[in-house]
Amino acid sequence: MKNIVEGSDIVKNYGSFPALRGINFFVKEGEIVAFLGPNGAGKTTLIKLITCTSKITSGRLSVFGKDISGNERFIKSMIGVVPQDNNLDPDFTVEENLFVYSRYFFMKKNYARKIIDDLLSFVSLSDKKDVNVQDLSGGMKRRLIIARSLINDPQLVILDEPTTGLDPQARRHIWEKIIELKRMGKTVILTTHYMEEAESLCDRVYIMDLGKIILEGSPKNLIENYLGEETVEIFNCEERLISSFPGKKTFFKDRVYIHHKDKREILERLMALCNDAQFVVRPSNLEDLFIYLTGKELKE
Amino acid sequence: MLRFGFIPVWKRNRDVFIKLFWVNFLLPLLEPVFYIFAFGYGLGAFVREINGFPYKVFITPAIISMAVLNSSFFYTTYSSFVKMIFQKTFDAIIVTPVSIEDVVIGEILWGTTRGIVSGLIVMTLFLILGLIKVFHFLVFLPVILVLSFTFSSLGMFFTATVKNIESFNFPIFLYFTPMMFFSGTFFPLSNIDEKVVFTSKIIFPLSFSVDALRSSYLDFTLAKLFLGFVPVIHGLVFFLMSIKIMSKKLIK
Repeated sequence: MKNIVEGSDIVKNYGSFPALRGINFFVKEGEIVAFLGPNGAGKTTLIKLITCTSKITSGRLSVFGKDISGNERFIKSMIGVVPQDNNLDPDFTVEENLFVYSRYFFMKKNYARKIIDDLLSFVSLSDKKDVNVQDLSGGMKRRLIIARSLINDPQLVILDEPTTGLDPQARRHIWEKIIELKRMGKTVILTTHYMEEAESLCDRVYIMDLGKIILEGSPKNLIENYLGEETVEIFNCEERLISSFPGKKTFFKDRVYIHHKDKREILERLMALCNDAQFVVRPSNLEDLFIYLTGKELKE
Repeated sequence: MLRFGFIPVWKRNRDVFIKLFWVNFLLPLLEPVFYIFAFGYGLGAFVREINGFPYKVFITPAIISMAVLNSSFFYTTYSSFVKMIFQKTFDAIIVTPVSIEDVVIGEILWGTTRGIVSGLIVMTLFLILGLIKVFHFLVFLPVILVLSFTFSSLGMFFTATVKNIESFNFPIFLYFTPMMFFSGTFFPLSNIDEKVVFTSKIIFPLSFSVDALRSSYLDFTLAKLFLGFVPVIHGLVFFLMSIKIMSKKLIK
């Protein structure tokens, strides 16, 4: 599979503030790739560079094999973008929003009408087509924006925090749509700070912090290689007692996370040394990995 | 095929305009009607004549111009600003093949169109009231086109440069409003020192338009009509500056 997006040594400064400090990454055709990180990690900045709405300070970034500078119109005609903010046009209805948007891609009127019908049924909004967008729920707005991003039948769909602020049900609905995009053969890039989102959707993730990529790989492999399958989470036990325990330990707020291949060994020690401690044993996740690597939570 | 990216932007604005025609557009056009009745007919009954014009005729070009300006200038200031900052409409457009330059051009040209439509409606009203004749449309249209473009561009320039929506009060109350009153609109500038008048014309280009429109009543010459095109120089400067500043602002 060829690389749809490829970046090397990407640096982006806003004035004297370094938003991206030397990023290397690639996205292959047909993949779902997530950029994970807390606010300020540089995810949105990277998205802006890929969508040609920001200027790169140094480094190389190509989309569909073409350098981003000088090929903006070509690249933008082949991507679909779901931005972080809901920027639907409040003066129009659901259907009109898509129609007005189709004109920005110079689509013929009759062709656009047909595509719009298909897209509205794809995101289950056909019965809302004459509703003003201001009267839609948060989840519906998000779905409409996904439909809007597909109006030009893009090869690459870029979603910047597609589910932030949605309730769990609406979030699942969006996830289904993203998986369907992959089935349709599209390449998907998304940013998120929801770990479970990245774990359940993505082929690969790039974990970012402070303008750098700190880790890359498939969610499953990353967790297994770095932490092991299970994590013991302990509350109410003195740090000094735990520090002699085996395994990788992360002290975070009032908790300790221990990642060790043999959970029985941990639990036995816990019983012996600190028997009023509370604990849970649960599958390790990307959140644990992020805390382990950075000492910070992904969600603030 | 050459594709003009500003066209879909212009069309978007036209579609909103048609949807909100009555509330957003026609109601503000009552203002020039109030002006012509209050000043033209009301005050005009006392003032009678200025430079050989009945007062209501004297202020007719001014009121038409004001309708055009209000329509174009307030579009590219408040409406464009709200779209850019609060509705993020520009952000949605610039990830498509339409560029930020296209967006700015589309906005300015829509503001221009809006001003012309306002001008035509007010002129039609004034035609019915007998304040202008049909041939005036021919003279007025090109002058109004220039005026509308100029202030549409100027409005966009302010939109590109103000820090927040409240800051529009600076250009509006320190520039726009005084221009409306001191450009030979409601009283002639004939007893003011010529140098002062010339300087004020450069700063307040509305006076070129008003003079050109007014000349069509008495001593119309092509030369005088051409003076009405002078503001296009201001317009082009602000047109280019707003494209440049706006693309720097939105593509960081």
